[in-house]
Amino acid sequence: MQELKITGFPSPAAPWSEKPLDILDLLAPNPVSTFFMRLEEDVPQWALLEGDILIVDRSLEPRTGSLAVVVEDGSLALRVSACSGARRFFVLPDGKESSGIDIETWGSVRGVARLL
Amino acid sequence: MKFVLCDCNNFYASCERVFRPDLRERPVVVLSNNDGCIIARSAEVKALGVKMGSPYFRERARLEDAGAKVFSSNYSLYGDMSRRVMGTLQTLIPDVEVYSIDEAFLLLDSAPLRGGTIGELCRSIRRRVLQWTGIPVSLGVGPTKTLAKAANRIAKKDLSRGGVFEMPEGDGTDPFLAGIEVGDVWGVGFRYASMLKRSGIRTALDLKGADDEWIRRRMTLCGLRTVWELRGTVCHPFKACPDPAKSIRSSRSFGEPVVSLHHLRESVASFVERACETLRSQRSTAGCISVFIATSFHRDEPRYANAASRRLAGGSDLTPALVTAAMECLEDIYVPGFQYVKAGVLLRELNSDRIRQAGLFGGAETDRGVRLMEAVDRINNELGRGIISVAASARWKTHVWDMKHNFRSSCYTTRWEDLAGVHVADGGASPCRN
Repeated sequence: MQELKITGFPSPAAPWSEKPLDILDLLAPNPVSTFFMRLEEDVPQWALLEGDILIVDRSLEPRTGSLAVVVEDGSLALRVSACSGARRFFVLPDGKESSGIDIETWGSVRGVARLL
Repeated sequence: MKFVLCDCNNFYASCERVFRPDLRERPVVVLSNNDGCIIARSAEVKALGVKMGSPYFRERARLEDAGAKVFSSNYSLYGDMSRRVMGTLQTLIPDVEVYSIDEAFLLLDSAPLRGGTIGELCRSIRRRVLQWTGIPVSLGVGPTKTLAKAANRIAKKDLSRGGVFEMPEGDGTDPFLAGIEVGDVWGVGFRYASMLKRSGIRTALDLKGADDEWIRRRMTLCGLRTVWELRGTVCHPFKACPDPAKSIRSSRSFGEPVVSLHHLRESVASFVERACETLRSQRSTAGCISVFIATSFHRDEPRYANAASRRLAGGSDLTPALVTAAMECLEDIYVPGFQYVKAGVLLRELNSDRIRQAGLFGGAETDRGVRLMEAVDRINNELGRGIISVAASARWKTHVWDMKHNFRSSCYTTRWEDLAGVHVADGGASPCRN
């Protein structure tokens, strides 16, 4: 859209003009490493619903307790990342440790988008 | 000052694997437009001996036996992944020259090293691109682009080097250049390579030591530049922005062979339209348009290929004028009864002077045309390509000549309905896809 020009009085707000809020600044501060994915099932324990859009940032290091998309048995799965000492492991919605072997982090989930 | 060539490994196959981790160990190939030839191969496919560019139908049985996964090309995905790779490079090195969809030259002066070595910097670039985008890259370092390109080749071939190789200083390059075939030197095409081999110049090292005058006579100044670059003299400087194109080509292989003039007209009109968009986006006019049509050269059917040209007095960038000229060319060369599989247009004698010569002579009619094109380009830019198009191209129809892409993956990063799915169930419950 074209910016509208003022023909009469110059705006007194001009010197204080700020960039409007952009939700992507919060959800995708690093656009080149941010990917959107679709959650395929409800996960009430994590307050997530089927169809939620996961905002996955590959540049964000997973921390203990954070949601991560992982590669498990060749597919993409949602897990909670956790540490005990130097060992990283991944937790299922029921709180148990995932039984998959050689799990690796695909990216950290920075946020979730849901249209109501 | 050093050049780095950063090249994505098996780029198209790697893009497919980012969203399909189940394919990490499986051979993966990507086919050209219309699923004709193999244009990308994962390392496993290269190991099978499947050659780049070979027709898919010839390799099909071998690939199936090896359990390979075959993809049609998905340029929406590759274009977006390329943008991400290039954007990631820019976070570490300010001077990035995007050379192709999967290659970039980086300019290193001492500044970004911050005390580390070039090798360490390259390894951190490699780590970051892989971490952020999932795409593996190789980096070659040298005092010229040609040597950086040669170094990149070594980084790729010699797996022990961890994807990074720096050419030694001065004549330290020689043992490495001796291992590179002359045809694999950047800028040496197939024809020059066979000419050079006949004259006993077989390796990059032989070429480096060739006689300047002899090279200039046989390979023009371009060839001489390549030789000098092999010796470490920069002839191809870092380019922040591309040179304007000298010609614009728009062509395509058809999904199904085309027989009728009517269908050829529609396809050629759509190529002209695309070429004109490019022409106007670089603010040039074309002085000449050529149209070509061709039958297949693989099939056992009558073969025919021909081309015709028209001059555009004073140059033009108006789609209707160029479509009219192209239709005349097509009438000249069309012969009924052949199965055409390819057609295209070529715009030449591009003039990027902003002063429109036609404007001086064309008068009000041209002026209206220019304003019409400006409006059309603006609408198409804002609302999507092809919203407004010339009727001759019949863009609203599905055509027999539309491209085939029977094995195309999802556009994971450019279409909401194509997002990759994430499940929650515990291990092994992964849906089996093909």
